Amino acid sequence: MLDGITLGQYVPTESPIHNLDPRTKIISSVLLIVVLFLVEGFQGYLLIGLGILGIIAAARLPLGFVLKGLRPLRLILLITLLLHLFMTEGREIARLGPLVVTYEGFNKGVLMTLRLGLLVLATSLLTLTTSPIRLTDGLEDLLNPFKRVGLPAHELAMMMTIALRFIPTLFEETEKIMKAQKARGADFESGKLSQRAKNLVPLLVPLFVSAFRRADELAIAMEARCYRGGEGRTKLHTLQMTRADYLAILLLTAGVIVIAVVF
Amino acid sequence: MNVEKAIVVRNLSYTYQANTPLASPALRNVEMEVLPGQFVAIIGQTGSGKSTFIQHLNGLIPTGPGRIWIDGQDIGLKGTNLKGLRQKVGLVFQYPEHQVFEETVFADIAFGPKNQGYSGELLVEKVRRAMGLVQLDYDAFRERSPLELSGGQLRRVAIAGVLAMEPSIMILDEPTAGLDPKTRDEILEQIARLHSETGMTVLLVSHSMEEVARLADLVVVFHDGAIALQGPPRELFQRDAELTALGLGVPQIIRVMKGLVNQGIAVDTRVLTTQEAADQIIQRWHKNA
Amino acid sequence: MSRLLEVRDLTHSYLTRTGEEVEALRKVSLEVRAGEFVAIVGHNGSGKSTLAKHLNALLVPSSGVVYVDGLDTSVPENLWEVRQRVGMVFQNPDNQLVATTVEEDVAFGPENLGVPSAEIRERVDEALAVVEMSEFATRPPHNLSGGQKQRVAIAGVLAMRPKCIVLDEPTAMLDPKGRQEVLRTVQRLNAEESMTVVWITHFMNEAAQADRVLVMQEGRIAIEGSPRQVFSRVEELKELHLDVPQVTELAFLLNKAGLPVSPELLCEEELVSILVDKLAG
Repeated sequence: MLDGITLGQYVPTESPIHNLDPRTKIISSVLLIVVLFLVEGFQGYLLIGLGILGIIAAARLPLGFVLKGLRPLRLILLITLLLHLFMTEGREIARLGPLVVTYEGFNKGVLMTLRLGLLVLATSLLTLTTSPIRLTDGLEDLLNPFKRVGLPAHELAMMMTIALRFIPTLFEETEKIMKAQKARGADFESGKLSQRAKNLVPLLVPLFVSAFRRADELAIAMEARCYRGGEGRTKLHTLQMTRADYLAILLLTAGVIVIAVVF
Repeated sequence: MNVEKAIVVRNLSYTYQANTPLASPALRNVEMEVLPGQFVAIIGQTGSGKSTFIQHLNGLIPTGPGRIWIDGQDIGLKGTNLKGLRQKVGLVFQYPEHQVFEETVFADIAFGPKNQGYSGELLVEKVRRAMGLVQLDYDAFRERSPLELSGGQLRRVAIAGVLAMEPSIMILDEPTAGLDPKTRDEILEQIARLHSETGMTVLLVSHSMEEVARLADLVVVFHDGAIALQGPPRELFQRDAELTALGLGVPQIIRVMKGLVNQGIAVDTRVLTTQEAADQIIQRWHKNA
Repeated sequence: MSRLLEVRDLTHSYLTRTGEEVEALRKVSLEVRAGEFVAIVGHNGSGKSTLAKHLNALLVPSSGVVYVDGLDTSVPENLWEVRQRVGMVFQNPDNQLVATTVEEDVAFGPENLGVPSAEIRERVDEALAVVEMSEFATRPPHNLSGGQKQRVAIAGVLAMRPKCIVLDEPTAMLDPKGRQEVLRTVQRLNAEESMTVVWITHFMNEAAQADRVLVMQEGRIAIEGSPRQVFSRVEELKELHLDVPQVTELAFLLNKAGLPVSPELLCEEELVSILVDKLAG
């Protein structure tokens, strides 16, 4: 159950997409997101959608599994559709009581919903095919040049790694504290919202105190292993761009430009 | 069913994440009976099921296949008052100091009884009594911040927090975990005194049989989700071959005594403490002389 | 044998929350030679953990001096050298592991030292092999048992190629199985790789495996000697609230009652043979 908390559920399969450098995949995701906002027509979205489907196939991910990732969003998607459907001015094509469905509304509704769905798919592709470590490594590397303007790229990446490392541990600890407080008669389920918020204090305080203690001990342990920030640090796994990476980026950039310009 | 028994467990089983590919059985047909006022030690390695077992006794884990009666009441029945059950069956988890959250010792110990609906003078009485049971001076400690206390003191505060609810059955999961020998002995002494002063039924979970040898009336050994052995400590220690096979340590003195018997020296091997063993050997020595 | 660690008249004092000055260590002196396995025992508050933290410059002396491989720990420039030479393993298995997989965590130390990537790979594989955790290399740490986590922590220290490992109550939070695992691993390190070990604990039976035992009380070394010598001082140990192995205590009680058995004994079989001799006659 706890593994479901990992970012977008990394699925470790062997595929050319999985083997791509994480930086390639991050850049590609950004490009996809950009083009999704630039394009306005149906055909554009269709092409992008086909492209994404192609990548899913290349990544050897079961389509059904990937689409299931959209399930938690179905409410938002529905609301987006309905909002645009009923709230856009234009030529009326149907009427449900006081609500008017317009042709423009229909168009916009479908397009916006598609855009949202494709955005989620594009980003989940990133997290489905890239392990959290590689992802943070890739981000750190891409953000490195910004160190000159003061962005603490290494520190950010280190924080992300530590956070990822401790999520399951903290989850277990939360469960344990909850049980201990329930054994003392605490009630985390019933009552109105304000009451339930107050009831969380016996859970949150110990969790925070423990988190602080952890952070303290961890810092000492890290220093004992000579950690002093990112200067002069090397890495066990180095990132290497291969021909496949350059090819992928080129193809994607070309495709994106074409679609953006034409559609 | 059996009104004279404090706890009756029949055919209790439990599987974590049942019906998924990750299913792992934790308990298999556990049967147990505990009389009121008994001091039961539950021994077993990590993963033997003992923690899962005790969480069933106060309803934290709903009774799956199997049945549990606490003071004659079947707690697996729908509509069982869980709050009432948790007042009756107090459970102190491992490293209980991690659950302390209030700003003062008083407030934290009062948390349990407050949840039961107590306030005012009655509440103060409950806290006072609980603190007395763990030998924390009421006036000296009640306003102190938990952050100032030593590990041993904080642990006692946490135990008092459960005692304040005046349970009739008290379950402690490895109450000496992480403590140094001195503090460990203090806590064990407190638990022993608690038991004799209040007549509570006590279940103490531990890794070490030596620790509980002098305190327990009954020792129950868990292994692989089931009860492998049980009996009074004196008798159970004699089954050294079985205990070793289960990966549990047998006290050195037992091995020494058995070693002597193996070499033809007639001593009673059923000892619990070093002093008893010494007495036995000295007796034999005088007899031979 | 060279003196790897040298502590002379070490005093450590600090101010409590209420402003009073407490001396955690009072003029402690000791030496650890290369290849030795030294156990430091004492109950909470005896100063043993404070002493440990001075050995890798996590703390610096209020007065007195600590030398690590000839380097003065109070000199700021020596800090990272000292910490590379003396690795430390702490009590809480979880709060030492920072990475999302075992091998990444073991690599953390060498990465900090700027070791080239290929060499890091070698060191990680070596270290994991020594602690017998190679098959867990790509697993996340949170699923490991306490004993396994501590072994990973030890590997993480080994990957830095230290001259000495200090373990500060490494088994306090482990179950008996975990304690055995860790003790055995470190014993092997000492016996087979000649790693200098300083093992801090409140479990006396662990100290039985050491070359030398130091018993601390109230910031001072109260008793020092080989395990046999130290364990024989049963009454003093009991006064210090330390557990004496049952066999030793038994020998002591027998001696008191007039049966001449040397309380230096540490092993069950030895006691049995001696008693059989004395009783069978």
